[in-house]
Amino acid sequence: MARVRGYFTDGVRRPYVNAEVVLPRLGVVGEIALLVDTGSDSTIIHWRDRLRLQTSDGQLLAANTVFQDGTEAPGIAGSHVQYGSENAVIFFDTEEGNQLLVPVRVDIELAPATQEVPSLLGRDVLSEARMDFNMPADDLVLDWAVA
Amino acid sequence: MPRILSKEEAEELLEPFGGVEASLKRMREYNADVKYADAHRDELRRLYPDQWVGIRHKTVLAHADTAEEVVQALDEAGEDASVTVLHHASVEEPRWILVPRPVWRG
Repeated sequence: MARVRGYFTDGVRRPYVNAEVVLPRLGVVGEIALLVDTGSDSTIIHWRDRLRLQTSDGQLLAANTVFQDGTEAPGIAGSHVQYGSENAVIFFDTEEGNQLLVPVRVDIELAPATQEVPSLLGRDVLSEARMDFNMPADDLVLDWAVA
Repeated sequence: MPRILSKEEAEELLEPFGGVEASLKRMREYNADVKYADAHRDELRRLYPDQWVGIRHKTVLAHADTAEEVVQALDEAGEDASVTVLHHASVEEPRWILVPRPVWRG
């Protein structure tokens, strides 16, 4: 069992978990606060975090980066949101002091359609975990059965 | 399947980014800065109303009207944007209505 602790923040106490996200093919990394979203099928890196992804030598991910696949979705007020799709590795810092690795295919927002919306930890990752969502006690815990 | 990495595996995967210790250090510093932003929410709102703020080591490094401008300022100053907390100092707490969106991967 690997335990990862999240937290509630924003004025309305939204649930988050922090992680380090690596896109191995592109050689970029970023620390990201992921909104726990059981309504999202997939994990999504939104624009404000995509902007910060950086190579090991300190270069920001180029604006014209081509991802492994393209995706699209209807967005706010009928706009069209473009996403790229890329294999990623998500690292969580566990309470036991280890690093939990979760390989996942993430969707990455390609244009600033939803700048204030954080990145989402979707059910592709959450479905592997048992979650204790205890807002009255200000406690958010994810337990993974690990190989 | 999620798994706990052996130290060797973790070192190999994270070698381009300085290895395991560097990764843990980044994560823990980022966590501390997220907590700082949350604890200073009212102060940030007062000082930088409706602006984006870049925070690292519990210090505001840059602020601007857009996230892009903050990241650009960090980059120009030689700061590491990938570990900087981007916080929006909203004067009014926005309510989000997140509508499920179908996505076609292709």
